[in-house]
Amino acid sequence: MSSMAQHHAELFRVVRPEALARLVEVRGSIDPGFAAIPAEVIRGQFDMVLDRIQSYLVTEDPDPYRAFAARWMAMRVSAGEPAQNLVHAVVAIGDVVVQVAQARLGPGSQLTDFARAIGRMSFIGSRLLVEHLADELEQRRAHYRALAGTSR
Amino acid sequence: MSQLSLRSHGETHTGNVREANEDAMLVDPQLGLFAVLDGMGGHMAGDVASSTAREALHAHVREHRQSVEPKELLVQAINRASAAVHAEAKSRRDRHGMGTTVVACLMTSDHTAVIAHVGDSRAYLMRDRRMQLLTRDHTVVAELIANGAISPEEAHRHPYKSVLSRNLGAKTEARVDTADLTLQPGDKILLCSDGLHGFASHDGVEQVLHGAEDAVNASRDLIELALKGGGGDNVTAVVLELGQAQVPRSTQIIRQSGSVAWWQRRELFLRMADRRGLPHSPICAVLSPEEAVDIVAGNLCEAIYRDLEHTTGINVWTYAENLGVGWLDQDGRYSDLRELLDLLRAAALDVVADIASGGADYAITLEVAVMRSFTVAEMAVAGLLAERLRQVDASLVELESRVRRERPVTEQPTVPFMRAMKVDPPTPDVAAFLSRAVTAAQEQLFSMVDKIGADACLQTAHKVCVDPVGDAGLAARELFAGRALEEAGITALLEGLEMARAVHIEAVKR
Repeated sequence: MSSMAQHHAELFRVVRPEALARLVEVRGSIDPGFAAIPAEVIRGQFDMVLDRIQSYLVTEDPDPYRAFAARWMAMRVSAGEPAQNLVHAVVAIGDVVVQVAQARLGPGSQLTDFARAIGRMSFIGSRLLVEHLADELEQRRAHYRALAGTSR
Repeated sequence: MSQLSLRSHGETHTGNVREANEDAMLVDPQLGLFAVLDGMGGHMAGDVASSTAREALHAHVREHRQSVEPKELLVQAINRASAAVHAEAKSRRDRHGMGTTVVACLMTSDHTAVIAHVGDSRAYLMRDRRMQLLTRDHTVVAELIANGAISPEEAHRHPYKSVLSRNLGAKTEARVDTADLTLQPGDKILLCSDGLHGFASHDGVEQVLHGAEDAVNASRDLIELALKGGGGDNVTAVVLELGQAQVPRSTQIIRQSGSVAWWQRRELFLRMADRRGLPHSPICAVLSPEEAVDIVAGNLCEAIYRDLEHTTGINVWTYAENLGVGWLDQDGRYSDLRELLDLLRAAALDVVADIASGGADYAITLEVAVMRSFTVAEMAVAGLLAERLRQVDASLVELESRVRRERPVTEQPTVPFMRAMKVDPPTPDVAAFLSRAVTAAQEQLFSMVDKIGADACLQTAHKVCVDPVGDAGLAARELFAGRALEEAGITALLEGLEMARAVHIEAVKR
């Protein structure tokens, strides 16, 4: 792990409890669908996301994040949420983390570096979800073609 | 006290059930006048009532703003509105009995406002993270509660729960309630029709109002919240936000220096996009190499510049959406779209590196902003793919039904292969089956640790099942809402849903 990654991971650990509390507080604006979810339930979901962000900051390996992104999307889509809302949520979660860090650190190079790391994470998180959507779409189309073939 | 800035925005929506929007709203920041009106009366008369009242209210305040004391002015204006609706109702037989509610806010100084209302449209004040109701509904039931004749619990079941005790239009004058407000920085005022407070919980509205970035997002998110709650009525939300506008220093730097530095390197961006292989992208196959660079990279360069200048994402969003629609609609592969966006992102980061090498102290901030642009592009592509996924799901459901010679029971699947029913309201026997099924699931959950959460979840699902606007799709959402698949209790929830769904489908088939 690079010293920069270590530094970001350490800062993330520090701001994480406050970020989690803030995420629960503003959950309705992250996604109106979250507003209806009890605080203790959504706290668990956000905590899982923060776990993955933390591990990504440490390892810079998106693969574990990929598997989680697919599971989380399946769960939210099953709840009737439009799939793209989850991409918005991932970006908004990153924004909240940066806002909390900003309040704690104030402006400066430390914050800017951290914001860059979280910004990259938001991009990668969004990309993983989009790739998963594209895979799902391809599978459903294949399923449709197969089913259409049997119905002839 | 320093001067408070005022930002405001309003949104209205027909809802999921009604055919027309009889709500009206008024947002006039210059005049400091804001209002929500909810019309009633058949054959489009409700629409006429609310818009007639709005125009009369607006005209009166505009005309007498300088000469009449604010509270008196607002009461006068509402009475003028009532007279206008009354006259209109008397003038045509098909408009007899029409009327409207109103809740209005008039800013009386930088720090004070007066709220006036008639009917069940409401005003809320959000302060220190808590949302407080400023108005008391003028409904028969609210009056009975106030008089101690019935309890709030009884009110939910009362046959007159939606009947107004006051409105505009019934008489030439209305009994107007008013309240004075002294405002603080950070306060938010919400004016809304019953389509919001009737279909979204107090907590949900409080969450959205507190957490929203600004008045625009707040009002949009509130409408979405009401629609997710069933959207059984027209819904309108006007949000006022008071506070000193603060622009972070990083934003100022990007707007002033970052955007200029970016635009000055337009040629570099085009060159780097060319060098990284843009003309070879299958998406550019119908363009010459020069056109590919000029159009595909040039348009993105300008979109990023505009977004940096205004601290928004709408230009890159539109760019990515147009690019994606054009490509995916001709059955283009997603991987080609991803590779094109990746090479453009790499070219953009080349530009940022060039700016950094010049010693610009804002280079990292600019990199964050540029990366954000490409994240926005991902969000736009996600929307396109999700829409296509829904379409394929719908086609699959239809095809499966045909293959199995089953009657199609859905038009809009919300959960893959879990049919969102769009059928008539459940008949009493179907409602009874659903109720019984959910109760059975509920009994299983009594042994679970998370009884309270599960109970609330199932109760809502039950309500959705038996509510006239409810359907199994909504019930599915409620049953799933907030539940992690790994959680204890989720199996029982799913079983409950399956039972409810099975009886519903059987009932529909009958």
